[in-house]
Amino acid sequence: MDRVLSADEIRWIHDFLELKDITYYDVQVEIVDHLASLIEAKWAAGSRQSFEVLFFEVFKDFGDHQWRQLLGAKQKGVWRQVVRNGVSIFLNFFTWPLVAYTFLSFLLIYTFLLAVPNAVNYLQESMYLWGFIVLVTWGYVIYRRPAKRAFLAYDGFVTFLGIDLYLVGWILPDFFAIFSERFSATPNGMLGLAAFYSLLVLVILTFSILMRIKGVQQFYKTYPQLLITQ
Amino acid sequence: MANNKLYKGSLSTIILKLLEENDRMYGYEITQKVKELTAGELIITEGALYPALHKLEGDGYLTVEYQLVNNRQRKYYALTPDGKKEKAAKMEELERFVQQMQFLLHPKKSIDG
Repeated sequence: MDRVLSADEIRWIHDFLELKDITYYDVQVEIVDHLASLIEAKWAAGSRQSFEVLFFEVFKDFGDHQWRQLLGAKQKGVWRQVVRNGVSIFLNFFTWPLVAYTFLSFLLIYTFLLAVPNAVNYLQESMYLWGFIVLVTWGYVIYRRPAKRAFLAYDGFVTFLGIDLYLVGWILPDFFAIFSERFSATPNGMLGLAAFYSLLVLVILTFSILMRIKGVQQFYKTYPQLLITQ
Repeated sequence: MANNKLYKGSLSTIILKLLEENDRMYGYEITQKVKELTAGELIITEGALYPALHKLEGDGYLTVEYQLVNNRQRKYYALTPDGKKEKAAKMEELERFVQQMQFLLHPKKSIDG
């Protein structure tokens, strides 16, 4: 039987790639297998050279820039997957129960705005609650992060630009404050405010939270084998 | 890749076609299969292969699974149902292209049949 790389030699290649700044385990795995296959093919073809000599030979043949290109391609691939998931979650959002949910929220918020004095202030303060929910989701993401190694796919699936933190931390409260100051005095303004809250706040934040939770689930579904041996 | 400019645009089609015929394959295996089928005429480099595989995976045309082989994890690619459709569309497109090239390069021969 032809010689194959030992577990120690495989670990050595992983460590070497770490030093070359290819730190994501899911990216390393594919490169390690490719390099190991090239080395084993040389042994199978009759080479009597050592692992170290053959490793640097195959690594030199490929060149540093190509491994970086590979990392970039993997990043783009993960991003495409994230966007595809996002589009699919977003489209699923427009099924009738969710449209009904959004419409009912709109009616409730509108009634609330008309019936309760200073209701606008309550809505504005509800941003803190949303901020809390978003932070809890991030806590879940951090808690579920694989313990030992970094995974590009995990970061890609769950990060999604941190758009919800950005929204609750800055854009929505400011936007809401400007909007409410200008329009809350009129019935049409209340209508607009209710629409703004139900569409922008409820829909966008629910979407981004769902996106992150689904991202974690998808990661664990796709990479169970890698998580065992990382 | 040899003759890379001519083959580059067809790399995704080659990958999809090979995966259809072989159920599941890993990166190194694809490079070797292409080399074998073309008697060494076409060499797919890692720098061309993996970006194409990751793009197809990102687009949902490929599904992946890992398996422990010879002390290391191996990533296998297989076609998804969308990948099968994409393969059929790409093959049709490529065949039409080859046919048009035949008409352009050998007009008389093509008409004579």
